[in-house]
Amino acid sequence: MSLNIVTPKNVNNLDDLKIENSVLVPFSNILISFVSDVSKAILKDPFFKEHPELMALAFWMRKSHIKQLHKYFVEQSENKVLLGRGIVFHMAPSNVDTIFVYSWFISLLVGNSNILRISDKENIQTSLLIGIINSVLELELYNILKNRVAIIRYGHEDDITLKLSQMADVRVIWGGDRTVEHIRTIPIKPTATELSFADKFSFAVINSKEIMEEKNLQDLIEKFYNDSFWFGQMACSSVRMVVWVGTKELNLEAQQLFWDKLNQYVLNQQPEEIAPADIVNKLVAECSMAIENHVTISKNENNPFINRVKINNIKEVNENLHCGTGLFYELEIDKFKDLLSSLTKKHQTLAYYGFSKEELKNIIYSSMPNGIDRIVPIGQSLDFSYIWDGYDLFRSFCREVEVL
Amino acid sequence: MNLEEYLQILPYELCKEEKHEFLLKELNYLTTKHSAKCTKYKDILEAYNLSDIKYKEISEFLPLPVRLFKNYELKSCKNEEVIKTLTSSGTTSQQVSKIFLDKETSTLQTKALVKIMQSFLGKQRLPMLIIDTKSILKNRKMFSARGAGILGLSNFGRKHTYALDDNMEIDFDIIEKFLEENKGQKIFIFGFTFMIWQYFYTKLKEKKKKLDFSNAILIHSGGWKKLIDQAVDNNTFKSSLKEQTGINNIHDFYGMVEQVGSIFVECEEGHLHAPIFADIIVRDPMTMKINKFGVEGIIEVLSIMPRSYPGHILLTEDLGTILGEDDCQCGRKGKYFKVKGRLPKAEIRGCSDTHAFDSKGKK
Repeated sequence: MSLNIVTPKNVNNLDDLKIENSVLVPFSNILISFVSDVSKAILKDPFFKEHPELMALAFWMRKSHIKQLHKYFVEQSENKVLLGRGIVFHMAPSNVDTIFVYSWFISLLVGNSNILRISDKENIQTSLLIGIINSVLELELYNILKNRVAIIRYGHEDDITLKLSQMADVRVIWGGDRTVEHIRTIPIKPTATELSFADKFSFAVINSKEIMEEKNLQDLIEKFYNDSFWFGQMACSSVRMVVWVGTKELNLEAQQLFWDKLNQYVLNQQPEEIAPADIVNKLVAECSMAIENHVTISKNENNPFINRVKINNIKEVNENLHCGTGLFYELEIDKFKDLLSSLTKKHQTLAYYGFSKEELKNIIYSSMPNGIDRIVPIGQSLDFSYIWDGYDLFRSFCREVEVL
Repeated sequence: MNLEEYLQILPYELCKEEKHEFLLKELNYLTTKHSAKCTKYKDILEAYNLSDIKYKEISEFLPLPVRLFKNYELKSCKNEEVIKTLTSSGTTSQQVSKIFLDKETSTLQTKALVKIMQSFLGKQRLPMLIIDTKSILKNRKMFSARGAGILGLSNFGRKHTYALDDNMEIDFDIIEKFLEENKGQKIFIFGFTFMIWQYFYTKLKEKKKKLDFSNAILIHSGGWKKLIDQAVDNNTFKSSLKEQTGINNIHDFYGMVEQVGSIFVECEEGHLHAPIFADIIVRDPMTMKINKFGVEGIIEVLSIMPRSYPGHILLTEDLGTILGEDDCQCGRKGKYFKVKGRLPKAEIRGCSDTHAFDSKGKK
């Protein structure tokens, strides 16, 4: 059995782990100061400069941004009494290494104690990140937080998960359908609540007419690249399909323009994390998609990084066949509205270009889709937000005391 | 030349021009045939907009990724025409390939295998020692690949003797009796590479036992993955076995259940050879463009044997290097190459796993 209690440092087994269950005042100065000190430490470290997703995390934690979050929280809790729930147990995903920090800090900021389960698979970014956090935590100033956090690395041992679950007032399962299903067989306390994040599928919607007139296409291309190629295109919010809205002719022209530009950009980037095995996986995926549905596959002989599979209906999307690393479903439609009635609980982020926010809100209200959690401009798909998969995380980590 | 006539030719006797011409004709025919008979294959060709094309180069055909046979039943004959279903071993992955053979394909594969094996073993059936346990044939669960392999190769020997007992221990009594009975004769030994190393060579060495197999020819297969993990390469394998048993004549072969029959056997120079029924192409694993000889890449195998399933042109997940064509020192014609091993697995990515809870997770 592999169990490594990374924080607190002097504890070696679970029986000795004592986590404080009394909560702190939401957004109290000590909490804001801790988060912004971690941010400073990350920004100072040259290692992290090469990792844009960690830099994004550090920016999210800056004092000015935390103040904004605080303001939001105060607005939400006007005339209400909101307190932390106690101990929150976060089960982090193993491959998106920043999620556990967002999840933890949002819960911390509203005053909770936190237990974090992190994969036992060594990953240098995660290890360095934990190292930095620990060094801030060791400052005397933050003594009050020391028995309010545990970071534990282990594999899939259900007995450990059970023990930690029994300590928790909230359990957060950062996804994967199978993981959620399995962890749910392990009970939490009757008084506890649970947040779970299932497998999700995200996509971009582009207004073909608008893109033909775009002056700064290069900027859009770069944003689209980040939205789709980071995390190997396998984060829940990664763009994995492009929907073209317009007439047949316009859609074709727009595609030509867009893919030509993206091809050039990707070839310049040479995303090195895409390996030969991914190329074979994409070939298997394409063939499987061809067997499952009547698709059209466009090959660009000179660019192994981009694969395009045209479908006729969003229902033909099979998320399980999608292997990421630059594989795009493509769909052409006349009107945005045509798409919405087909959305399901599986659909998470819609990244748009060429539509206005008002227009989008109206479309959503008028068609009342079953799914879609976030609608963001292209370039912001992977930005973390305290609203996630339809939950307000701040709110979910709090209990409201009703005072009449 | 029709197929019947072509099969009369010795397996390593054709120069590239003649071979290419015949393979091209057959592969074009097979592509059309499979497309007409196998809807899934047709769907794939249509999706890539590659229907009804007559190719001029064997490298132009779309290879199917071999893993597709694990996920889908691909068949270009009627159900009632299937006389045999082959499955892959499935030791490293849960899912197994299913390959459907009709009478024609099965016969052709046997013919090809006979031609190839005879060129190494001679036409006489030799006394055969199998480095495995006889119970492998009885245990239906273990049967698939190892059992089928042993049965297939057993056709080329007589007096079949199994070297390991039910507990996978060397049965010295049986081996010594076998050696005694066949003294002075050429012997055929067959086994799976890893089994030979683990249960035969290693045990002999531990027990400091030497055997005299200087008259034997050893043919083995089954992949190098587990041996490479133990830092055993082909040269080490050969020299170690020679030291313990005196075997001089050792031939590995490369082949897969998806193209049974047209196997690639190692020659005296240590090179794997494409027989006239099959060919090999090595591609750049990123761009899929054809690599020059001498440059390592991903292996594509072509065979004119598969008639009842669209497995005539396959992209493997193995890495290898073509060393030359028609000019191997051993005298055999055709492309000759070496295999390095499996393509490294893709990283697991994404947020959709706290880690995919498979059977491993449930302890």
